[in-house]
Amino acid sequence: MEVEQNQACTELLLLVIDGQATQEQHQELMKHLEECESCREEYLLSKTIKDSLKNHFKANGTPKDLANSIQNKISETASLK
Amino acid sequence: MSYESKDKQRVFNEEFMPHIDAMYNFAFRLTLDEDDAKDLVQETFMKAYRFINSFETGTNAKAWLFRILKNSFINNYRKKSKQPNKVDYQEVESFYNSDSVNENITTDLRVETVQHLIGDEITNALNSLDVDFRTVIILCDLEGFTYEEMAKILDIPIGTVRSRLHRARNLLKEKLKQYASSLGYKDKRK
Repeated sequence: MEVEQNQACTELLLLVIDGQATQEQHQELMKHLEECESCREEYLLSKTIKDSLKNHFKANGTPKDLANSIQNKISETASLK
Repeated sequence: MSYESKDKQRVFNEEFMPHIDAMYNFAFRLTLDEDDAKDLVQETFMKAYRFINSFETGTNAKAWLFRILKNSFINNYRKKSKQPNKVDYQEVESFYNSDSVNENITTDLRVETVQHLIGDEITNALNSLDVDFRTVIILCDLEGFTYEEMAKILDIPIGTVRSRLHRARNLLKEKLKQYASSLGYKDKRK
């Protein structure tokens, strides 16, 4: 019973963190977090990791010539026809 | 849908080219090599142009392009490496081991520890994951695709997207924990 409960919480948690929960699901989780410490910690941890990934992630910088070389190839292909 | 050749280039420039940076990043995260990433992006755009008639204007061009890129990656790199498919094994394993569904609850990684890690450390942890797990995290957390879009990009059911994502995050937590302890971070709480 408890395991099922945990599983339901985990699923709800992921939906909310990934911004894909309905408003009702969102409220349901928030209410649950008020009374469940382990879920609250889990929520904070998962959210922190997700935010860290987003914020710290350095884009590698697309090589400058890439867009040009693609455009050129496309023009070549187009003019062949 | 069929485009006139003039329209082809217009659709290509307006709908596809704006995604080049996201595509390059995705390619780099998959291949972990700048030259391979470049080749993969070029190949993807050439395919996109060739199969442009199967793209419907107004639909999600980014997801469409990511799907082509992902399939090209699998064809080029995975077949070459002939690695056993670890994901299948790990998914089966987690399916039969119901305890692991809740392993995140017992993970003792602390929020403060994660906050202390810098970008490189998090990037390294992500890069160390098996490519299938890395992919779902990139698509979801970095690119913000919905589960439904991810299912289309990866050609797997939504349920599999969610379970793979869950598993990927637990593996990432495990890596972050190992990383943090190797750097000397200690949890204040026992």
